[in-house]
Amino acid sequence: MLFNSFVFLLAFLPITYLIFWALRSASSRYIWLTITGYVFYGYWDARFCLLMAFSTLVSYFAGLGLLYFHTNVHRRLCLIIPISVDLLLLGFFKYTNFILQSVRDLTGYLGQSITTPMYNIILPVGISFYTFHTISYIVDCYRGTIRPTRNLFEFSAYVSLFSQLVAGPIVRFRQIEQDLESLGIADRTRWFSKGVAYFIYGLAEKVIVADTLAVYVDACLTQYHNLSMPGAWITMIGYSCQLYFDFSGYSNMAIGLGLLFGLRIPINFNSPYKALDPSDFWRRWHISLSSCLRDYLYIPLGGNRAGKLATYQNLMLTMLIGGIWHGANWTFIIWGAYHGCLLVLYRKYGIYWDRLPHVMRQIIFYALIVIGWVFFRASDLNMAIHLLSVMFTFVSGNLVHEASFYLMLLGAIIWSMVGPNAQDTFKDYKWKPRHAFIFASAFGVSIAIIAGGRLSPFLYFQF
Amino acid sequence: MTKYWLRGGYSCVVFIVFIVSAELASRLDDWVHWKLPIFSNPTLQSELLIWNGHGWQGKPNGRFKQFSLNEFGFRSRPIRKRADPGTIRIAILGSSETFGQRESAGKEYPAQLSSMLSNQTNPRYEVINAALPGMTVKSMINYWDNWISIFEPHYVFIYPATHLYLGDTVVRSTGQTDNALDPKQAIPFESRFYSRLRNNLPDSYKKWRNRQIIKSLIANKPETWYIKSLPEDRLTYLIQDLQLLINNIQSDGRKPILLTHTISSSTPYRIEDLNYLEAIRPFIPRSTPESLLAFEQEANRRILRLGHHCHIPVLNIAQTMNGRRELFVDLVHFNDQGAEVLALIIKDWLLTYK
Repeated sequence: MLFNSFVFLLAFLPITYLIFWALRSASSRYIWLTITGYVFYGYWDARFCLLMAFSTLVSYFAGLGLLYFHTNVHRRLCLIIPISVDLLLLGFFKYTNFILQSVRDLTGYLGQSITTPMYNIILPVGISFYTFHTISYIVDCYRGTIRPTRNLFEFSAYVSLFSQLVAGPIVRFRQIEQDLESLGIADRTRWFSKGVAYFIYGLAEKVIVADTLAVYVDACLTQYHNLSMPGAWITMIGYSCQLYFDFSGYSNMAIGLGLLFGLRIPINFNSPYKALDPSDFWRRWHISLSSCLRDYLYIPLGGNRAGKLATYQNLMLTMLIGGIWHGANWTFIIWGAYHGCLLVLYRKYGIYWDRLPHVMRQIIFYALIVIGWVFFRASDLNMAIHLLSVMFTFVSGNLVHEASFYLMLLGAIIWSMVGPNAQDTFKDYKWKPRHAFIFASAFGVSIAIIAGGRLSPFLYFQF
Repeated sequence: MTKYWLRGGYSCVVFIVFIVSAELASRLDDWVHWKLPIFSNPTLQSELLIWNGHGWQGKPNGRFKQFSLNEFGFRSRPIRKRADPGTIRIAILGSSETFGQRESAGKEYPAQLSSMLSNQTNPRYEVINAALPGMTVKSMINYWDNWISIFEPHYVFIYPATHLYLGDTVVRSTGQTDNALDPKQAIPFESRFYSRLRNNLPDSYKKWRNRQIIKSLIANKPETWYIKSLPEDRLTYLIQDLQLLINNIQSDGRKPILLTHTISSSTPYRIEDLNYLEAIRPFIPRSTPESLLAFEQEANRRILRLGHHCHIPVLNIAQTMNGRRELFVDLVHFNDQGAEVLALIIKDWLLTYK
């Protein structure tokens, strides 16, 4: 069920909303959010609801264990077991075939070819996200940052909350704990208009910008062998905008949905294409993931406290794991390594870089991001290498000839590099009657495009 | 009281803004993606068909959504008026099934046939999709005489939409033309946003709506109005029209090949076939599912007999494809896979025919 589908907009959301606010107690609302979360998830594939339920129960009981056990051994067990379970599940569903294929390729390269089996494993939608939720919960409980909840439904409502279930943002329990606790006395109207505003803003980003760009970008990348040098650059710039507006749109819709239900979901994007350097970029792009990687991986590894070499090592390792998290493909690992290199280089030579003019830094760094997206988008290394070689050699070939594409692309670039984002727009938001006309207009345009049948899933669903 | 009136008025204005934005966005989206004009009301017929004084033909360079015609009004690649030396030109006459109204772009069976034959070098093959939606065999006669014959195809495949002969606009033996669209009739306004919404209605609603349409069409009709047994007159019209078309093609020195008409339903029909049989009923309300299936079966028998009588090949695709729901999107229209199967049958026949 996609947020930009009629079944969600006209059936699931209204029913969920009305019944939620008709219920009076926090417990009943937790139960309702849990049920709707599983209905939402089950719409994709009901079999994997059991998997999510299993992961939820393991972490819940581990949390209870941390409440009751005080010895180090037991507490460590309560930490290690759920994390191991989650990582094993993630590893099995996401990386089994990749590992087997890699072993086969490597042994073949070394001349000792081994035949490994390939399994027909379906990747459960959102597994990368909800396992992060449960892992972050248990680590925070172990560290004492939060107190584990005794209420199973409160915890399951947090894990299965439909707004961020399948494509983030990765919400840590501590970030919405207060709102969850006060769900029983939440005021329906408090954040209603802001929630609607965020939702429609995100819907417009996704449907009007991202999906329109996708039509041309996907067509070009299907025939990537025939692209010219300018064609390759324009296509990848188009992809950078498509990816940003798709994911940012989804995140804003998730934030809006959270607000409609009295929950403040943290922002996930802060105009990443305004970034001037790699560090700045990772404070703006997929903020929930990068902050998790920082808090649960980079800092425990030592962060920047153990000397320069260790800092570089920790940065590279963190970004490599960030790359692997995105998908079981060498292209994602290379993408992660690429950004790790950029971060290391910035650490080392940043003082020189920072002396450059603002605009120059923004444009050059944007070009570096676009180069990175080549690996992110390519289905395999051959495609990535071909695209990069075309981008840096003068070859003739195809180019998009549609004026509407260039208009949309220009608008998207200006909006992403210079224009306001959702947070800027709704910073001190106060409802005014004329806003209804703007929202009605944006919603009408979005519904018309959705009804045109070019529905596309959110790009981050594949992760 | 005034407050409620103000609120009501405000809500109405918001709703109007929503509708107007959606309508404008639908039209702009159609212009961006399909190059449809923003402020007119194009339809498939208005954009793809023209009346040449004798009958309908494809509009040169016509374009409507995913359908685009070449400079001669065919849904094919650009061609010359004469085939290149060493090239065998194939023309396929038919209705919406051949035109490819329901397949993905480029997957209609003439296009797939063209792709399959593209590797042939001695001789080379060129395929012209000369079909138009809604074309009966009677219309094909005019079309052949006044247009297609100019292109001198070597082979002319005829895929007749036999079920159209059960409709109320069926040809009469006096030779009146049958086509439903009056060339002088103005196209009424239709909201593009509403059309988009309609396509997204759930199947259960569409089925209910279909039943309502059928009810209104058959309301107060006497028993004699229904076609319950084989309509000999309509079968005769079909075969007479086919005979005339074959004669005209042969007299122009071209080789006609007939195809039997295939449908997704088996005979007798299965429970799962009823959906498709009911869905087509608004177009041929007089005919019950049983009489439709009987007509199809008998029409195909007579097509086979006609081919034998005229000494022309008949590809009995009904024998291969009838009842195979996985190849169809409704009773008569192919999906991409179904079009591929039909293209393969034609290709195999072509390459083995002497």
